[in-house]
Amino acid sequence: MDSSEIKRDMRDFQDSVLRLSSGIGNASVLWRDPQFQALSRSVSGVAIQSRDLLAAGDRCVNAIERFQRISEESY
Amino acid sequence: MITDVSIEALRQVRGVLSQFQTEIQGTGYRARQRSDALESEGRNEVKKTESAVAAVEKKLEDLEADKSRTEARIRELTAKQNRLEAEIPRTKTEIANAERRVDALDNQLTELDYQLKDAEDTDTKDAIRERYYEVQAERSKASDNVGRLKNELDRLESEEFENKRQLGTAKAERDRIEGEIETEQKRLNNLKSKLQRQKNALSQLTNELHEYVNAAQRFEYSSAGQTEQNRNAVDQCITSIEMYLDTDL
Repeated sequence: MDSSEIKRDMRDFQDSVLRLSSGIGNASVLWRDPQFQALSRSVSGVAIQSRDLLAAGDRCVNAIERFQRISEESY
Repeated sequence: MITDVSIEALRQVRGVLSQFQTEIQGTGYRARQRSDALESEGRNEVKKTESAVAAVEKKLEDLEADKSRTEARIRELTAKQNRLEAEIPRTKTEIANAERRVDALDNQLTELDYQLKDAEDTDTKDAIRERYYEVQAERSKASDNVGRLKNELDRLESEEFENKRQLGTAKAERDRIEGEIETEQKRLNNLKSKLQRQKNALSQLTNELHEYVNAAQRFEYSSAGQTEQNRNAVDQCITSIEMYLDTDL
């Protein structure tokens, strides 16, 4: 058992959220009005929600590694 | 100019939102798959440890049985050793007695020999000769008895030698088994501790995986809805602006 797949999923997921945030951020140069502010807030909300998933993923990785350390004990 | 830039910006935003939607699609499903696979792998690891515990318990049972058999053998050999240790001195005493008896009979024969030489009449000589033959026969029996007892002593001493050898081997075997039992007992304790900790860790892992799957599903559901809503709004803006641009004044 290893945590690499979950770590990779988390990295991919984090990259997606970062791409979303930076993509929307880049548009701010071309789009400055209250509508954009609303969109930007909505995207920030998505990024904030993603923290729960990342935190849960981190706890999973720790739990996997702890389980793995015990499983590797040889007697 | 402001409108053109806005369309470009809107298209850019639309592309970013679409890409994000595509990328996060299936996040919950993937998380569930990972979770199921990891839980299954974890249960298998626990089963492996349970099998290892069962194997060591079985080995310990076998070793305890071996130890009991060896101890029974040691008791049997020790009893035999005690018997031999009592029997050998007794036989030695019997040999000494029998040898003394032979010596005594030899003395009697010597005495009868003298008497025979000193005897003058035939009857007396015949009587002495008769007695001489009787004592000689008796001496022969006593001498045979010494031989038989010496053979018996040799046999007992050989038996004792072999018994001591077997007793030494059995005791060494018992020591070896006890050493192995101690090693296996430590191994069993370690494995049981590992199993308990592994079960606790698996339980914690299962909880964390469920949290992770729930978080992934919640995120996918809420962000997909929100992103879809934003994208529709952007689509509407693009359509409105395009309609505005197509309008002849």
